[in-house]
Amino acid sequence: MSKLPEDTAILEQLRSPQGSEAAFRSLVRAYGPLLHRHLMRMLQSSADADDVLQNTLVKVFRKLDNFRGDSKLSTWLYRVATNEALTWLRSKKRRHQRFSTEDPSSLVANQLMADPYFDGDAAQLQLQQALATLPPKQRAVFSFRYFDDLSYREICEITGTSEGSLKASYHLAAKKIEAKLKEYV
Amino acid sequence: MSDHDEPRLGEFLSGLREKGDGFRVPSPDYLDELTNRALSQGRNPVPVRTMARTRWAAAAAVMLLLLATFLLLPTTDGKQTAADDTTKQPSSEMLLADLDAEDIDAYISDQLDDFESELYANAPVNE
Repeated sequence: MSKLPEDTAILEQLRSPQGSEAAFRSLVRAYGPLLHRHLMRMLQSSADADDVLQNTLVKVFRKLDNFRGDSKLSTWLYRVATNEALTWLRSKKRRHQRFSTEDPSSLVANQLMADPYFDGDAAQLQLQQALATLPPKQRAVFSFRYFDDLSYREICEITGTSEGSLKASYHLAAKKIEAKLKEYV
Repeated sequence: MSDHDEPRLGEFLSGLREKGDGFRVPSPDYLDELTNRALSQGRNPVPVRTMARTRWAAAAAVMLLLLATFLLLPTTDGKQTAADDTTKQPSSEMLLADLDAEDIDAYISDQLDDFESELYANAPVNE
């Protein structure tokens, strides 16, 4: 993801008399849709994405005054959002293991078919089902590379994982998803 | 490592890539409402509980240590310790054995989540 012109505008607003609130509103307008989409792919539920996006934005708001612009705003936002999503998924996995025996893949299919933010066709639904079978971190890597077309360098900055590991993880994820999609056909 | 030398995707996955993920973009109204919620919550001071939690953890550790010392150490005159008298009450080991490792892991994860997120929120700012 290249550095957006909005970054400069947001940083200028941060230093203006209006301060962090105006900058924060600009930030959500610029990056909110991207973060929401990323979280939908990670969590596959608009209710969960809403909660996690709110948690993300609260943390970002509290730290925004300290942001000096040395790193890309998008990298920082994606990093906080991804970490929040992974935390959420860990917690959800524990609850799911205890109280439900339903297959995660069919659970995702049912969730998405009823989700107001999912507008995909049958093939896209199967892709989301296959994505749900990946471990969360691998899902994040695959999502950044496959859907957002981020470079490995950018994903490395977001996840803190080496480029070599990311490449291997993406390759493995693609193979798993291909195999799952063949099962569905 | 170049981005160009990665393995090619299969035909099906390559074709699907063009179609996107199938998710709708949230409306501006939703984003405005979300912004207001985040601002409202973000303005509330973050509860400072790190030191209190540390003190409680230290106190609990000391209590456990004293309890373990009392129950498990043999007396100098060779008499049985309280831990040997299993008819009165279960030992601390038995009580701990009843705790599921997953529950312990869950508790630790839950308690560390906030701290960990704060760490991530801070980390890239001054990179």
